[in-house]
Amino acid sequence: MNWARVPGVASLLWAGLAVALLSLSTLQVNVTDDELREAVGDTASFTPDIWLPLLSFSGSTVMDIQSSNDLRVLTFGLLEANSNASDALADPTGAASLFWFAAFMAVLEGLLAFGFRNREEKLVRPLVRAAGIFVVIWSFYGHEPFWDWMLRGLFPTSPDLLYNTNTLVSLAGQHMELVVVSSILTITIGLTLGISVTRSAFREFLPLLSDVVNSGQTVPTLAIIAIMAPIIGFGFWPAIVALILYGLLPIVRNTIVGLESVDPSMIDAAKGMGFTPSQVLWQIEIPNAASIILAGVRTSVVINVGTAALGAYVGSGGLGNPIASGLNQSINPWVLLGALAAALLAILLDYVLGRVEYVMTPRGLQIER
Amino acid sequence: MIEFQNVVKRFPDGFTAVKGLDLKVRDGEITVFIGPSGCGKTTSMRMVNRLLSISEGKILVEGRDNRDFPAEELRRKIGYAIQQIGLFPHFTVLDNIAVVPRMLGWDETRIRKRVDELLDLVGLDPDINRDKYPRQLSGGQQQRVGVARALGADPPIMLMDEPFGAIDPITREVLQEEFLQIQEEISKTIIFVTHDIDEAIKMGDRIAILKDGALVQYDTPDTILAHPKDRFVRDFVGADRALKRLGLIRVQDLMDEEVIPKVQIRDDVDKARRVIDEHGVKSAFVVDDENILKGWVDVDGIRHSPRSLTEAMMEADFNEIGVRKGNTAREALSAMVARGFRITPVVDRRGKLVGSITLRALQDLVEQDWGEDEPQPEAS
Repeated sequence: MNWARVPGVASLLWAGLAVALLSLSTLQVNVTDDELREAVGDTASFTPDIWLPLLSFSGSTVMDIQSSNDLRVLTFGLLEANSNASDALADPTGAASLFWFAAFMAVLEGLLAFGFRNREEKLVRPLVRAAGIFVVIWSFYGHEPFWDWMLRGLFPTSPDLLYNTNTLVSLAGQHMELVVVSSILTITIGLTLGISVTRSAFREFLPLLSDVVNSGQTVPTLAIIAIMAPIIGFGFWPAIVALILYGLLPIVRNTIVGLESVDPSMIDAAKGMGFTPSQVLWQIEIPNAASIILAGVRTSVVINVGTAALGAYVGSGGLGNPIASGLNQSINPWVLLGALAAALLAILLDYVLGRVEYVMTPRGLQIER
Repeated sequence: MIEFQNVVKRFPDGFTAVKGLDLKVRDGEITVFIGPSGCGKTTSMRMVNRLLSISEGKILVEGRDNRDFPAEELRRKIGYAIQQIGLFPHFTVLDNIAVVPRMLGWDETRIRKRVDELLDLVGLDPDINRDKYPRQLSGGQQQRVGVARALGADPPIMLMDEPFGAIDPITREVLQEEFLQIQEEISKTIIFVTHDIDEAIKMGDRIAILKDGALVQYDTPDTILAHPKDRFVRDFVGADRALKRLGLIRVQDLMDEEVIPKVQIRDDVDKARRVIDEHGVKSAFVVDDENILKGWVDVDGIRHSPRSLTEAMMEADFNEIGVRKGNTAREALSAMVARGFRITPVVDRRGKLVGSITLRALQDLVEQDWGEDEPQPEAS
């Protein structure tokens, strides 16, 4: 039995996860730290995390705030109370990119359910599904009490649980930013190169490009990052360059293979009917190669999520930070936090791209012979 | 409408595929290009819509050099159907057929009407098939769509490269017949490439036989079969060309409407014996009051039951022993050989006896072929 096809199962699953995450929330807070008490007061009801508006209506667990770190974990609304926390949370872009990712995914689900495929479906299910997906992604990364609770269960004796210099949501946001920016560039460059060398005018460059792209992947990413750092400097861009070089291979290779595998008689028929070369490319070759090209894109992007963690070594931020610091300082919860979050991100992205692949593969090609 | 003037095609590797082809394709006719592999038949065809460039000479399309048109514009005016069909799997049947009309900027209502019309023409129900994808169709149906697509914008000229080549023999026969019927309606100027001589004889108004890039013989199928120009053509059309020629001739051209050995079912045996003697045959056809064929009576039957004609006759269904006017002489011969008759009745749709055709008449035709052919010298 295919559970994914049972009506409502997927929606219920998503919704259930969301509710589970929300129920772990902490709302009311007793401030026990003296310095903080001066700043905040004895008790305070703040936003435990990004779901403030929802949670302020729900009941409450009481949690004691003993240090500024606890506060940071819980707070969005108390930025001014703690300079550390305010630094950490002052990265709105990071959070924003994660937000957009989650929103994009929700919209995609909605479109899929409404517009493209299951026209016969009722209104409620796709809406629940879209909302559920948004809630789950956003909550996983934005809801630190959840991670705190989980890591405490796994490492009961560890003094440090959550990464102390940045929130997970902004780390994940930075990570997504790296992945999205590098992927957009990689896809653009990869498709352009792949399409160019399969045109008759540039066909002689095909072997050369294959070699270059192949060697791009043989050089260790860390080496590329190390070489780029002195040239470009530290931060965001050297990591992007490394990610592009590393991610190019699957896209270029699949673009070439995809375009070459389009039935030549189909192209002959198209030309014979008066298609211009660009019409042949866009109306015949690309749609028929789409599934192969998108498989390459999917591989490349998912690899990128893992590789982007190395960006931490040149200060590009992202989920590599807790991993790198955790390894340096032997704090296992940090390593696990970064690794789990990155792995989850990779799985989510793979899922998203799987959906994109499904939408973009022409329907006539999905029908089995 | 299409004229090859001393056309030469040289490929970059130095191979000359077509060596000075001079040929006029007549309007409204199917002209078949045929020859062994590598004879340049497909190359010649592909130069017409400039899928291949012309090295020397020129091809006139509608009286103008085909290089005067932009290539894409030229191709949109020329229907194109190929063996591999090349339907676009990501387009529905409707979108496939609508490709050229859309490029020509037809409005959607006109396109929809045209598509339905074409699907009807090629024998596919528009309501069922319009929104299907090629993969949901059988090979024969796909080729029907391929033909409909080539006819999409009603081009005056069509190029067909072994369009029925990849289809099983039975479906191929059906499609050939249907296409001939369609052609009767639409009268396109068609260049039809094939390597199958039977198909060429069946489909062609004219056949151009090519060998090593040169035209060997260009004539009607009947002339080519009756008077092959040289040994190559004779070998190519095959040793059974007499039989093939019979395949071109209809029963109605050979049958005898006057002299029919027949008896009424109510006549007596003596009448039957007299009729058989008169005609110098071994059997006579038996018909009822409405001249419907009921069976036959032969001398053996008369000898066994000399009293009653109904007992002496062999009853048979007219469809089994009779041939129709529209059948080929070859089919009539086959019927005679199979049943051991020297004479076979010709019936109409309802079984009415309308004539007879004799083995003698068929033999005369065949003998005349060989007789004319024998003394011909090899070089010509």
